[in-house]
Amino acid sequence: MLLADVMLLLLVWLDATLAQTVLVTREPLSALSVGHPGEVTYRWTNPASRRARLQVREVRPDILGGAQPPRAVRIPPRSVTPERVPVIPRRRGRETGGAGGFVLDSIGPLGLGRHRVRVPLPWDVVVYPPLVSVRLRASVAEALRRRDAGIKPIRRLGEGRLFESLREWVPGDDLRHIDWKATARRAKVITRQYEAERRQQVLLVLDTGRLMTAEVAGVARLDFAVQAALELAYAAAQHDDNVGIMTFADGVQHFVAPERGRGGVRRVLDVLAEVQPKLVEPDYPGAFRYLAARNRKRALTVLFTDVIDRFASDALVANVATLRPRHLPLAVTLRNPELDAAAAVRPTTSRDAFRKAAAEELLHARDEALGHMRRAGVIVIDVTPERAAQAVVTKYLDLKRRGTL
Amino acid sequence: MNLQPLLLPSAAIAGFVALWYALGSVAGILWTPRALLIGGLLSLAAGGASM
Repeated sequence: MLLADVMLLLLVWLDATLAQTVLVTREPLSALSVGHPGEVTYRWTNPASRRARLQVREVRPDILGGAQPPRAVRIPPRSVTPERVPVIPRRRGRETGGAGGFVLDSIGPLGLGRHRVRVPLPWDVVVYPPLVSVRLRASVAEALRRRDAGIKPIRRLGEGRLFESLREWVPGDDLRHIDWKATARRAKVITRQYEAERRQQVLLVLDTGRLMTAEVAGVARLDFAVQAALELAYAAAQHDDNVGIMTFADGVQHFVAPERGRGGVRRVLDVLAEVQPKLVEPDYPGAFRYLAARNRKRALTVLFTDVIDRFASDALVANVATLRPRHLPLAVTLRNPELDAAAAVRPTTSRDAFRKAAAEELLHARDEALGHMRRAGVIVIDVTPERAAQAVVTKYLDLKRRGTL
Repeated sequence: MNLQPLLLPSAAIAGFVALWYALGSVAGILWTPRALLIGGLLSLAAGGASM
């Protein structure tokens, strides 16, 4: 018996030491977005003359699901075997050179022993917010529909700084607009005529402070704001507007000046992919000072934030109002559906009654703060998080149509 | 009850487990389910023979 056991031990040892050593590489990933399964390709290389049998346990970064269930991989002798594995991103974010790798159990030729090695294979990946959501498609389609429905930009001569044409000067025209070269050529006074610029600036400003850390139906409020900002960026790009973004909490985290077209959207998207809420008090004065210094051109400045009551939001109201008259401020505040439900309930017990009273008081304080903001000249959209994206795109289209921007 | 006769086999088993744990965690040498099955069958066979 003892001899048999010792033999078995030796066989296990020998078998494990004879197990194949393999190499693994990962092909560069295409972009990933939340809710849309992607695929990653590994290339397993077996340089030995025997088939390699592996039991593979993959460890991915948290944003890609963390530790994966084990799987078997077989690699023929002296060959490179590609393996395609689905990747379902769990949440948006950026992972560079950190977590990731394999625990490989290479099984020996007798199947008695296995040799375990850890292979680090760090990920370099960005997971974007849901890009092709149904709502996004709907809002872009809506934007296109409205644009194609015969709504043409109204030429407003005399406003703006976009050169339109030359014409003869008449009394009352601004002397600064006289084109002296044209006047010399034509021997009469010629003035430049301008029209309002059609390409406008849209600047997305995301408050990532403590008010955006709260969750609604298991999703952080900031994620709803990110989705709304993304859809607005797409809609603005569809209308040839320049799009930029700023995020801030206790300091400015990201600033991307408004840019045109796909490039602008891509840079906004890069910021939206990695922005995370922080449990800190937002520094509104610092953020708006920074904004005023960096963005002097008139812009629709869309602030995604939340308010509690008038006094708690005094700094926000005072600072967002300073954007006027140079910019057009639009504040998007996210309602709390649970608070709305608590205020709307018909109380049957004293506990319900107290809950209802507290909810109503909070809602009243919030309405007061929003009213204060509106009186300061800020356009306010106060919606439930689920409706934020749709509401902000609709408002943008409305402002464009009316030429308010 | 005299536990002395059990002392040596227990020490041997504990030493084996410790050795194999050290090998597994440092050198990465592990058993497969097949080897465990064979080991179990050997024990059963040895038990049957001694009865």
